[in-house]
Amino acid sequence: MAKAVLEVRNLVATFRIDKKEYPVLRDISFTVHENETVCMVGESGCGKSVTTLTIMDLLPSNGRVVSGSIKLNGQELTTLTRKERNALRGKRMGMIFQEPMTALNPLLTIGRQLTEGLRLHQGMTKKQAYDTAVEYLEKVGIANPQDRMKQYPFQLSGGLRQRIMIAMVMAVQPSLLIADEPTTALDVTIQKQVLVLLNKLKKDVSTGVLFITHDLGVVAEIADRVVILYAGCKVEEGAIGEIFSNPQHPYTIGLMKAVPDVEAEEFDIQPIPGVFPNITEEIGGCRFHPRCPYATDRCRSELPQEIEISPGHTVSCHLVKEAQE
Amino acid sequence: MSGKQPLLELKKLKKYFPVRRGVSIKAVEDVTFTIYEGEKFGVVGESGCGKSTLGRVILQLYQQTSGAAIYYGRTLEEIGPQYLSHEISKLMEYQTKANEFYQKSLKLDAKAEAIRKEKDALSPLGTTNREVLKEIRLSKKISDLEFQSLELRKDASRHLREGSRTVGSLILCKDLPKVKELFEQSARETAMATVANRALKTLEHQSEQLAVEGKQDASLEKKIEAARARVQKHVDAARQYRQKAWDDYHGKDILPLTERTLDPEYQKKLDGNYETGINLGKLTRSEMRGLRRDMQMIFQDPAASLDPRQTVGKSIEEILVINEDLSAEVRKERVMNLLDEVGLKREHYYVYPHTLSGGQKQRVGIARAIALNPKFVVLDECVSALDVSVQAQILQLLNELSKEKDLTYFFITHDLGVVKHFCDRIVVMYLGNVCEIAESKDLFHNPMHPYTQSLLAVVPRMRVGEHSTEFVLEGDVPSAIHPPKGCPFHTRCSRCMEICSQEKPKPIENEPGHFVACHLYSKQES
Repeated sequence: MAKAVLEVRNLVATFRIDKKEYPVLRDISFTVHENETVCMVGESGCGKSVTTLTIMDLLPSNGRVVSGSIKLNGQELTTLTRKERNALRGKRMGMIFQEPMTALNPLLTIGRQLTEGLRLHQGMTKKQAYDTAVEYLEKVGIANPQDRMKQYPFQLSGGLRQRIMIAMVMAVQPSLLIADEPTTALDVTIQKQVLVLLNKLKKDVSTGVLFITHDLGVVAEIADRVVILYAGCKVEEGAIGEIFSNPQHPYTIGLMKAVPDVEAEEFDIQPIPGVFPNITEEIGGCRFHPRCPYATDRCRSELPQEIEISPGHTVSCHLVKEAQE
Repeated sequence: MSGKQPLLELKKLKKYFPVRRGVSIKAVEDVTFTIYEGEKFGVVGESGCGKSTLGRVILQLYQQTSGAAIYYGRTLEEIGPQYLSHEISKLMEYQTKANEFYQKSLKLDAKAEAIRKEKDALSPLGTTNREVLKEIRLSKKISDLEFQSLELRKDASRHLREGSRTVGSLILCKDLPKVKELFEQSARETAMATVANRALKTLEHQSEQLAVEGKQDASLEKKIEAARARVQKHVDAARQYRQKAWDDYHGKDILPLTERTLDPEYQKKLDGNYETGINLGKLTRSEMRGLRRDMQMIFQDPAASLDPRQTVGKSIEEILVINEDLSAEVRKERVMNLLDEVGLKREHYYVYPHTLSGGQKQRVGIARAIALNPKFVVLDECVSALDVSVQAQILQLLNELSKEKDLTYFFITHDLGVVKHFCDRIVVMYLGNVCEIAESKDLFHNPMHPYTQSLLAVVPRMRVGEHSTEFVLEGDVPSAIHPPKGCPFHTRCSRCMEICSQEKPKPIENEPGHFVACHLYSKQES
């Protein structure tokens, strides 16, 4: 088994709204290994973005980590001081955001922004940083990298900007790359280009990738392992083949049925009934039971424990557990 | 397909957005297709391909640059558009102008011919400098004259084309004044029918109100009967006048206005221009407002399309306040029914939009769109901002509504999975141009245009480990300000040929109902 880059154990985070604390992450655990892409999937509000922000220590001021541990290459992050974590950010873990325009500084040239991280984290000279930056621009498939170095973000298209973000993050060779919906704002043809590129670079730099998305098609294409979140809870985790061929949790099954797939011949749209819960809503028992077609009394009262149904495939559902017993 | 009634016909629709002098964004370029009644018509393309602009041009939220959108959901007699009599009054002008231009161009041709003779008379190889210079001067003159003559001919046929929109090939008729007279009479009847129609609507409305209150009025029923008969009389008369013109003059005594007018093919083409529907682009503002109740829109961002300071109920009711004359109780009842229809609870009447989830807000958007029982709804990426489980709920709702209310959808999206399962027919657009139009099964089984093929290839699939990189497109979409010459897709096409960079392909019906604009297929035709 490859080395674990990121280990998250029993993470609980809360947001304070109107002087009350509401949990947004409830006991989340997962691991990202070297050279592995873990996709985190869920609807908006399920806590997937909050997870990444917690790992990066970028939570808004009303959010805090209550308990749990986050280990990067074996080093505990939650006990570090602000300054120490700051030093890790960008160097050991990099992040790519959804909207490449807002992530780049509009007042600085591409070259200036690309070399900044290299000089800061790798201690390179200006010349070295410039050469490395050009090398990485070439790696992400940008023609005329020397010219691009002089340009400003507004002169580039969305796909190019996202490539530059990727080059910027990968040039520092972080051990963990967090990508928060990096292709959602892009057109399908550009999305494909970016996905192909991410896969290639992951192997080159041997990084662990935590990929956040809501698009199951993208998951099928890029993931090695999948973590499915619902309303702050992890409901299912498993290898990509397992999840797609043998989904266990009713929510996972519902999600798969709700996606209109271009491959499917006949498609009978089967939505998951009901509304996604607000974080201020208190739901007893399994968080999914109000929308679950199979919910029993036990689901309404008792929070299901995580069980392993096959190596690496875990589910949190009473029904699956009962069926196993 | 033949059994279906067309609802909306787009003819060479163009929309350019001016940027600065002489520079414009060519957002929609020569789009021609027909949408049939009750159809779910999908438009797919990447961002910037003009799909949203097209939707808005159809609804006349943007004025088109040229071309026409013809609406068949209402008859001319119901709307009685002002442009009708205006166009008829210009018929003679179109005919005489066309002829004038043509005669002028003939004169220029003769002049050019004379000069050419003079040039030929010069010694074959200019011996002196003066002779060479003269030859160059004459050649230039000839090409100038030829250019002017060509432009005049274009003007001539443009005038004939304009005229043919009102009377078809009758514009070529020697007896145009008589044709014109008949059409004028028809227009007069049309106007009268419109007035009678309005009166009828008022009466019907009164009776509806009474029915709600549980009363009945026999005299009112009689009045309605009479009004209905009056409308019918005028409608029939209007049609009869047009028919008479058609019967008496069609294909007879055709003037040799231009060289092509005697060609039956050309006459057929002019007949094809004849508009029986309503030309949306020519309507006045208030006429278009009247038609808005037929043609509605649902937007992508449900939060932005609702007023945060109005309760959901008021937001929906506003439409009825403006467009219908109803008592407060009836209005509220209608809103409540609408809430039921879109799957919201009646309590939602009193809440503000910020308390709703994205899916619920979109339901309010749908309720607003269907409040006036429209015929045609433009759905602009209306499920793109929603999560998959909610997206499926909304699609299901839209599907049910279209069946219940005979709605025709113009569904704009970038999601090929959604469009495949939701739409009956699909058009694929690239840089403002139509690439391919086909029934959705056809399109996915047998994509013909290289752009469609690569789009389908790169869509993320719900299968693990079967992802080819074969059709991955290089580069970005070119700018719509300076679109590539020839086929707009040739810069990224893997099967690009020489002709592709020179000539723009026209959509060709390759299989029944399957249109492709690509030289790969036009070559096979010829």
